[in-house]
Amino acid sequence: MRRFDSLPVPALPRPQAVCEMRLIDAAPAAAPAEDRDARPMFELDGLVVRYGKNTVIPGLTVTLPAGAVGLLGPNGAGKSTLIKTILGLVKPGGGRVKVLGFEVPRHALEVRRRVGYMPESAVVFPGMTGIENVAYAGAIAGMPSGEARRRAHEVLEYVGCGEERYRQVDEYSQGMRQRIKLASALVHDPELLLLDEPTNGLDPNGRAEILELVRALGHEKKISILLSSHLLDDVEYVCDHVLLMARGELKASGKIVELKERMTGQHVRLTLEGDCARFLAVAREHGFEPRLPDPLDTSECLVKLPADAAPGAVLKLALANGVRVRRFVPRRASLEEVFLDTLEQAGGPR
Amino acid sequence: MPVYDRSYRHWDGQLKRRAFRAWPIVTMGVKNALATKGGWLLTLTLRLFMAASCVPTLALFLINYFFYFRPDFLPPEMFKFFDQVAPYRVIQYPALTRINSLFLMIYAVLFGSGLIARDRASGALPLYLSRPLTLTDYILGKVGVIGWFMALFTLVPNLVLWAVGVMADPGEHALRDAMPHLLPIIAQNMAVILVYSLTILAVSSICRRPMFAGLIWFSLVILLPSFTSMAGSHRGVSALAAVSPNDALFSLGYHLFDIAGLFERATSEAEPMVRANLQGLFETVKVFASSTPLQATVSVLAWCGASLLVLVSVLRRQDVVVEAGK
Repeated sequence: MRRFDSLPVPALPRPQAVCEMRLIDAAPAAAPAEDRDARPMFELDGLVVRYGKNTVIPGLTVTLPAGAVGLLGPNGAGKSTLIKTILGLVKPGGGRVKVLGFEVPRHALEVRRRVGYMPESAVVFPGMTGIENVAYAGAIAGMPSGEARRRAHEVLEYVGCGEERYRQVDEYSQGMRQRIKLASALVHDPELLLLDEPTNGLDPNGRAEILELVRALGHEKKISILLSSHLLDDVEYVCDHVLLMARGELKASGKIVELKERMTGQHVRLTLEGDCARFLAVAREHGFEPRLPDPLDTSECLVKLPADAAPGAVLKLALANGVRVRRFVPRRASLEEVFLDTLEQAGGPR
Repeated sequence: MPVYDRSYRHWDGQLKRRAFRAWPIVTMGVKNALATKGGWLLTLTLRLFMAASCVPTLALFLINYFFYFRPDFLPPEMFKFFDQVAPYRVIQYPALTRINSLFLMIYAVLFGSGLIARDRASGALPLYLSRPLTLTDYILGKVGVIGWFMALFTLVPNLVLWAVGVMADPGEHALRDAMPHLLPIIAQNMAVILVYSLTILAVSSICRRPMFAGLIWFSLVILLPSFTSMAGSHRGVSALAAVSPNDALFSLGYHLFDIAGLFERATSEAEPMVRANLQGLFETVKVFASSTPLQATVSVLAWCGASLLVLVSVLRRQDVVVEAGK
């Protein structure tokens, strides 16, 4: 199992008042002594999670820095299970979990005081209005009831919920429910926000608005974010880091920019002139992985370079085989390509 | 600096470390239950029913009022009867609890059946447990909600009746004389509250539809045991009668208030005519209390224990904790 604790930890300054509050709160639970802003979002060491006889996460070891992190993976990868384990809702079958410096499930309550959770399904507290829902979420988190109501208005304003807040949540559309869920997760001003598919069921405008809000929380307000989503564009817009999982195993982790750059250097697009078919065969013999985007047009090809090869190697090979290269463009990889390529290397989206 | 900042602002308050973390669940649960959202007809029916459930308490208040203040329009023979039965007025407390338990069944179904079932159906359980609450806090909160309603129609009327009786009694030692009744009042009514609350919550936890929970509870906890109770009374098998929680609870009150002792004193001391009336009354009361103190106590503990076991084991199941709802 790979370990990714060498990732840089960005310093996240927080307002003084908030820092004071955290210090007072953490006192009884043997709070970690190091600088809270520099501590990792979570550390997993050999985490095993089982649902009955079915092992969902067979042994996950990873350390993630504070910041905005995307959690990617195909269906059944164990993303939601990982989030529920971090919250202490699902008990680990083995290994060690530390969230914001606190052991889970031993100090699950301390973690939950510092974490805001937005679940995947359109779930809200039933039989209440929007404002009651958010204020109630604050009250059960430990906020004084009057303060919880005042703060609920503030966060509802932030998520763009106007007069609708006085309507029963049972009458809400999916989009409104998403906003209420985000407001409920934010009401007690968490240090870490766990978002499970936050743009589910939103129209394009609503989706853009929610992503903008979440991005601002992560980048301007310095709230750590763990965003689980199938939508790679969402993750790319909000997050700096990604954690890619498949079948409960870690497949890749790191800064999005670095992952993309790594892949960008590996692929080149060529426009050839000459005996292209021969060149493709020779290239394969030399460890390159050429493929034709259009099978009928052999002059355009996409070549994946071996890990240790420089991009110029493909040029030399073409010249040596009497093929002229009319165009040579290193291809810019998207997060989707990183995702698909990683899954392919791991044996397909299992 | 903008005049009005609409961006996200950090909260500079402190999260409270409540001794009773379930308190917000209790307050919001009671508020929600009282705010009926089923239209004006349902609201009116509920209000009328709540008013009707106060009638037995008011009737006993009136009897106590007549006894102490003796208005002129009542015949003097009635006061003579009142004076003779005065030492046995303690029977009013278990009697009120018994009568009110009929209303409690309806309140248990109305307010208790959906308490956990609705959370399960909507998938709100992970929302609760993702906050700094334990499963115990959640259960305590839900018990608090239904217990609040149960107490409102059992413990509170009994305590008010007792307090009014003490205050209105012109006797020199009114408080001292009434003091021994206080503990049995609290004990019997707390047993009623616990049995009704825990059983309805246990059934609510295994269902996702409040209506089914109400039906199952009424069948399993009230209807079926009442048949065993009747069979036990008919055949003189007191252990069988104790299976019914209602029978066990009333028997518990019967023994806590020492109604049998009162019965003996009444038949030995009272005048022949009063004695006959009292005998009739006590015989009626005795029919409902056919279990021994031990059987009644074991039955109450068993109902509470079994309910708690079901409640905890269902809510501890991982698939229930993380279920997504409909």
